[in-house]
Amino acid sequence: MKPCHRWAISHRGNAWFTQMGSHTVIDDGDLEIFAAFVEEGGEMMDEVEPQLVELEQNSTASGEVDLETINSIFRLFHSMKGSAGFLELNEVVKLTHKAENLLDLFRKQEANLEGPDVTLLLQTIDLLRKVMDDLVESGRDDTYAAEVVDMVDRLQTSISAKASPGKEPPAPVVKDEPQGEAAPPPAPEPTPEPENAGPSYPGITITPEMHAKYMEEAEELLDASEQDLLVALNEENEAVNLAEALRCLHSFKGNSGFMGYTHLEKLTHKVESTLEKVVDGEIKADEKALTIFLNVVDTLRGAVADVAEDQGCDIETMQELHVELDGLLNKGKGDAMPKKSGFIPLSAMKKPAESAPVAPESPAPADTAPAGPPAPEPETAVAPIPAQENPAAQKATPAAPPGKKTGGSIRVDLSKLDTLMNLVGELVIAEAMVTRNPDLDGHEFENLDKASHHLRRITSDLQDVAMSVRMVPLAGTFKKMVRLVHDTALKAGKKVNLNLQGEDTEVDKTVIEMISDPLVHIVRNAIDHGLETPEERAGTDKPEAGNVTIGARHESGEVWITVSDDGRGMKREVILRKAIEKGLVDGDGSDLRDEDVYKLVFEPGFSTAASVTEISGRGVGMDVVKKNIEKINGRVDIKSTLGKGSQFIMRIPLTMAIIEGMLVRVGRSTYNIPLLSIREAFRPETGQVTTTPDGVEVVKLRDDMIPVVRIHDLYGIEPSFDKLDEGILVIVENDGISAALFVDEILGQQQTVVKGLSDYVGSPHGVSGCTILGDGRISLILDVATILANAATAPAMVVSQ
Amino acid sequence: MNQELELKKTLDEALEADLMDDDFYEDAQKDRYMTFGIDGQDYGIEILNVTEIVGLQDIAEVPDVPHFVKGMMNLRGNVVPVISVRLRFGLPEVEYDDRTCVVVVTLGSSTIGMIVDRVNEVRTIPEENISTPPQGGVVAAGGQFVTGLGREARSVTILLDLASLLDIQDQVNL
Repeated sequence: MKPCHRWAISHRGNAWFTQMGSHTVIDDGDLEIFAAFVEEGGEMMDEVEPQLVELEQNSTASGEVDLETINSIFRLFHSMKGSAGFLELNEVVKLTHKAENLLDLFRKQEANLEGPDVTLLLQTIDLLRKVMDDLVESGRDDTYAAEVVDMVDRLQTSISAKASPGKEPPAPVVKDEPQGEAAPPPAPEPTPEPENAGPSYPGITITPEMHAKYMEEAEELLDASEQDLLVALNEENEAVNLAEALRCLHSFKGNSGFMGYTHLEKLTHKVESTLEKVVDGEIKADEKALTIFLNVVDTLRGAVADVAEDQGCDIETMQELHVELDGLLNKGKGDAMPKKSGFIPLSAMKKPAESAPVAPESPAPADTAPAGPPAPEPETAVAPIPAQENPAAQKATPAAPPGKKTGGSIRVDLSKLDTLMNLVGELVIAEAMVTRNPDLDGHEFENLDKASHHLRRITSDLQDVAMSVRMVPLAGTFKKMVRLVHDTALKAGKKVNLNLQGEDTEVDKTVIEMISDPLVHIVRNAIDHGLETPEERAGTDKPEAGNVTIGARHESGEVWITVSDDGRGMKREVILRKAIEKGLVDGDGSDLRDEDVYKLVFEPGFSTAASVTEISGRGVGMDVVKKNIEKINGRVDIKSTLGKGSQFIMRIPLTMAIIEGMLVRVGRSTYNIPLLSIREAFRPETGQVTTTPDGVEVVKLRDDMIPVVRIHDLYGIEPSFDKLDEGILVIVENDGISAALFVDEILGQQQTVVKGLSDYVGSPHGVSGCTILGDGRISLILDVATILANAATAPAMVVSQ
Repeated sequence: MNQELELKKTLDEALEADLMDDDFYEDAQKDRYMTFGIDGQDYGIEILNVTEIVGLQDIAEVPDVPHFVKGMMNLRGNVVPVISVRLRFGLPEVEYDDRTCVVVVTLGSSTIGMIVDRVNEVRTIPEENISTPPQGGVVAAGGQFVTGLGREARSVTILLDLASLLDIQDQVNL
């Protein structure tokens, strides 16, 4: 029922697989895909069977055929055919295609469904089951080739008998067959079915889950196709990448069709047809064509989003794109063929000659010939992977257990992971409670010690694993930049080489979401303002094309995401002048370090007006960078050398779910002060503290007068010490405001998992969350920003100099 | 502590029995009340809302909340707010002893702990034995949260409305 959805993903990963042909021996990974396919197919057939039976009963009873049911059965066969087509399970394709043809007759009311037909269809299903079971067992789908041929013949006989000779001679049916178009009628014109299909296919209810899944996959597919298109533009093996883009789009089309979004289906179909021509070399894959394709992808993405919000779609743009695509098609073909043919998605991966329709009857025996590595083809650009994998796969398969294997990845609700984390954290505490139980004090238990040691190791491993589950590689985010760089470079009229490094670096999922926007702004700025124009570069010893490198790496417990360019660098004087104009800097700013000067570009409104100067444009949107990064407790550093380029370093904690904090005690309570906002901590001497006339305590630290915030007053608790010189002052800083937090003592430094306070208590003032300490107690995380903001509103709180 | 364990067992059994018989789930939970004592008086809340009973644990104070919210406690890795029913009733706080318990209840999507002096038992009080609370005058502490009085052979259990008991917005000073 929803095979297209799942295929979409597994498919990409195994793109090379299709190259190998259907009868090649497959490896474990693919066996797994097949297993999934078989499972889905099985479900589908389970669904069809009762419907068929019901259909027969009804039609014999009333003599009428329920069109709705026929349609839905037709769809199921069609979906199965689509999936099988992707996997090059030709036998399955043949069977389902024939069955589809037969059903088509009933569907179009060109023939009446009768008892024998139902029996025939049921037999077809039985055979399909057999084939699929065998597929899982042996990894081959041609074991029952003879039976398939027989069944196909019988279906064909039935079709021939039914089809009125004038309307649909049997021959064309056979001829059409191998084209296996995903959209039933090959014509590009609006097809009758999709239009009356409405939002969902008859007999299939689109559940919200399916919808969500569709959305998710649509996004992935569109992203993937975009990537491939871009790579195709830049690299030599364009055919391969175009073919992959084609496949993604095809999956997307299938999904959209299934969900009943005909407008998406139609546009995708059109772009597919065009792309196919490009793959076949009929149309040149020039910049213009790719731009149109990228536009289509964008439009589709927008349309998907609209669908998500139940809005109408931008039909106009779509129509324009249709026209553009048509133009492209016609240009490529000169005198266009009268009718566009449908296509076989897989043909894209084969050389053009092979993609010609393959009549199922005759090549079938040929296909069953011993499997061998694919004959060298012109387009062996894909081959590198299969070439390596193939021999291994062939060796591996016989040894591999034929059973269904699981693996790969699954989607899991984040809340489940949180629960898992909670429980693991608890387990660690419970473990300590048992192994360090006070009852054991003063005794020596050798075996118990061994056992506890073992237990401790397991729990700590478990904790690591649980933590790692939330981590996602940055590759997805980075890949989005490829498109961005392409577009920005085009717009800015610059040539850019983009290098991606360390895409495998993993960060917390929440972090990924937060860095996307900042990264976009930084990259855009690097190209737009950092890099010189090709002409300018020609005047230097730099290559014409600028280099932009986006990298990620682990560095001292943080993830550093860097964006470097080899452009002109940032000019201190220009930035400073602007900042002084805007009143962001007091005085002449000569005491500021270069780095602090550069950071001025993050100030909101820093440069909005001044795209005149070469550097100032950097301010646009850059305040978002700082804001977002700070939200995830990270920071941005800038390095720049005039004439050599700039580097933006986003330093981000590995995960938002973990905070590095200083544990402090006030009275009986323990608080956690985020380490990032702590400047220093010290015990004040009596002379250091003065009280202003309005009762504010200020501590003199070097040249600064810093207001004291007594945590115990703030939270209304009983402290151990009341005199400042008995406790500790922790100097915290945020946004240039400082305050000294007065606490009883510092307990230490700890990395802890951040937890939200219950909705029940809302968000108490000055507390941003809490953490559970190693001993199971709860400590509140101080919200330094709020505390400081409050301190600042009090009179005379910030005294400089 | 032993007593607490026993009670816990009773409660668990009661809950389990309910769960085992799906058809009678509603019925089984109906008329059943978890009873606890505050200041010598028995109170009951519908068992439907009770998830578990735990011993008193370390509670982290939270600023900026009504006085009866004692803070947060760690319930197997979940941070759960805890209220003192005593304080909620406007009674003076007393020293916690070994019978002081936290009744963990779920209301809507929130899980909340309630500190009570002692937990008694799960009682079945049929509807016909419940009379409406007397108008005017407060029967005991926490009068405004009362939904009814459960009459039993030798005692009266005051049945409480959990929603209003836990309502944090309602900060009527008692």
